[in-house]
Parts: sequence; C-alpha cells; structure tokens
Amino acid sequence: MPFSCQCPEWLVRLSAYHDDELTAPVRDAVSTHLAECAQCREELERLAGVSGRFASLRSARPTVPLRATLAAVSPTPRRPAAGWGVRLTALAVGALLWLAGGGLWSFVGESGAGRRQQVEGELRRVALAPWHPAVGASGSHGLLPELQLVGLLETRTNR
Amino acid sequence: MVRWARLSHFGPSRASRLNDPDFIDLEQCRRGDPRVLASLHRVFGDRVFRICLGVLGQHADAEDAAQEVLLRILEGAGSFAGRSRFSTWVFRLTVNHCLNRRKQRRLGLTKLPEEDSDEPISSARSPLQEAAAAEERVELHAALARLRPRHRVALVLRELEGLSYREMAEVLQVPVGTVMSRLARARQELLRRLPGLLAERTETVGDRHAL
Repeated sequence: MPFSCQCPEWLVRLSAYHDDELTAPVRDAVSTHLAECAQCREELERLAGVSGRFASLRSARPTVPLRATLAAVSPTPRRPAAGWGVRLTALAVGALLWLAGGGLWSFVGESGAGRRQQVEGELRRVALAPWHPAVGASGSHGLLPELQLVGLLETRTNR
Repeated sequence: MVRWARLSHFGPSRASRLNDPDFIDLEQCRRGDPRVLASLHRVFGDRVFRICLGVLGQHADAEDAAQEVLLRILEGAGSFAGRSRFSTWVFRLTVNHCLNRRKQRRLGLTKLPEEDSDEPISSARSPLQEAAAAEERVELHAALARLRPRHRVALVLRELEGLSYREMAEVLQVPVGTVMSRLARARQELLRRLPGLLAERTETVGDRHAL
C-alpha cells in the first residue's frame, strides 16, 4: 500500500504507527516512507516526545492509602443470605412455637382450674376486705357485685 | 446474574476460581467482603487513581475521585453484566465519573479540594531533578486541562494505562477508527500546547495539514 505524507490522514497513521497499532501491510508502507522522508521521521520523534512526557505521571501514586480509606467507608460485610431450606425451617419452627404458646395460654387462661383459681381469689379478696365500698351495696339478688360476678363466671365455667 | 469477574485478562486461566487472585466473586463484592476490597485495590487502585489524575489534573481531587470510583465498583458490582471484561467496565466507570466530576466542578456543584503540596517525592532523584520533574508535571497537567475532554481521556488511557486501541474502543464505546483519529488529534493539540515540545518543532508537513 503506497503511503504519502501529503494524505490528509497521514498524521493519524503516523500516530497509530507510533503505537504499533497498524496492520502489517500499512505498517510496512509507513516504514518504507519513513526511510525516505526526514520530516515524517521528525514528526515521529515528536510523538515519542509526547509519550515521554507522560512518564512522570505513570509513576504517580495516591498519597492517602486508598485501601484503608476504602475499608473504612465501604459497606459493612453482611452475612450471606439464608437459603430457602433454612428460611422454611425457621418458618416451621416459628409456627410450631406459636401453636404451642397458644395451646398453653388456653390451658392456663381458659381451663376450669384456672378460672376456679380466679373465682376463689375474688372471694378471698371480698372476705378479707369488709370495708370495701362494694360491701353492703347489695345487688338485685342480695349479693355483692363481686359475688354476682363469681356466680356468673362459675356458671360459664361449668357449661 | 454474573457471579465471577476476572480482574485481569493476562495470565493462564485456572480451573479453581476460589483462590485465584485474578478473579473476584461479585457476590462477595456486593457484600463488601474485605478480601475483595484487597483484590480490587491491588489490581485497580493505582490505575484508577492515575486515570483520575490524568483527567482531573489535581492530586487531591484525583484521590477523592479514585476512592469514589472504588466505592462505586463495590456498590455497582451487581450491575456488571459480563458483556465486557471487568477491567473495561471499571475503566469506563472511572472515565465517566471523572468527566461528571469535572462537569460538576465547572458548574460549581462540587468544590475543588485543597491543592496538594504533599505529592510523593521520589528519593531516587536529587532535589533539582525532582523540581524539574514537578515542573514538567505541572506543564503537562496544564496542557491536558486545555484539551477537549474526549482527547484528554484518549491520551490518558493510551499513554498512562497503555490500553490497546481495541480496549480503548470498548471503554469509550466508539469504533477503533475513532480512537485512532482522536489520539492523533489529541497528540497534535498537545504538541501545540506543551512549550518544550513546541520549541523543538519546526514547520513540518503536519502543520500544512490541519486535522
């Protein structure tokens, strides 16, 4: 391929020649031309001079240790997300605990024994506190309101 | 979803990726695993910083930008689709971040950090050599700052990071031909703007052909 420095694209080719980025036939043509043209050789030297100017920047390093700063500001390492197996197991255990807790509550809170304890406690409180304002303020059945409540609760418990 | 990313495309591939320093586990990356941070820093820390320095021109500003970029890599690892090399993705992210930062700075949305006086000094050189090198760096930064952003980026990727034209085309998402012409134009512009090189330059055929 003939190469001429009169071609408007010649500087582009010379620059690529300097970078060794031309295909073999074009590179050979440029080499042949350079052997004959002193001006193009000078231009090539100037391109090398431009590259040489960057040498001082190639050794540039950050003064602040990037790694330390990076480690300080990077997101906190998270534990890997649990797989579906682990999630389902946790869900099943949670459901079992919830059911067990509910059953226990109904056994303690709703059982006859539990209710009876509440009633007995109420009776004891009324018996031990005759000064209570409720004492004497008898209801329609001649019972203290607390005893009416106890009766009602007893009825419901026995049902 | 892509699980593994190869940090470097050099060297032989290995069967096990678990302990291969060339690979990072993107899942661990998303979780901010310290080992991944170390790998990212080892492979990309200095390279990202140099690109930032080349594009932004100021040491302190480049350090800030490099940290932001590395954090973005951690946060955005999930969006890496594996269509390009991981390094290409990182460089693209770096270039875009720097260009946005420059734009924001020009609009006054971000403040320029205090200019650095603590640029590392090489102990291998004499103070005189160090002063000359520092002056050259200042000149180069000044000349780069006056280039068009796309020309500046092309020069930085090639001259500082040594990317091939094909890699540059992937990073910049342009055809290889465009990379060639951008680089040539950038070099001609820089030749005009660098005082030392301009003095050396006599009238050449290149001056007769404006690009």
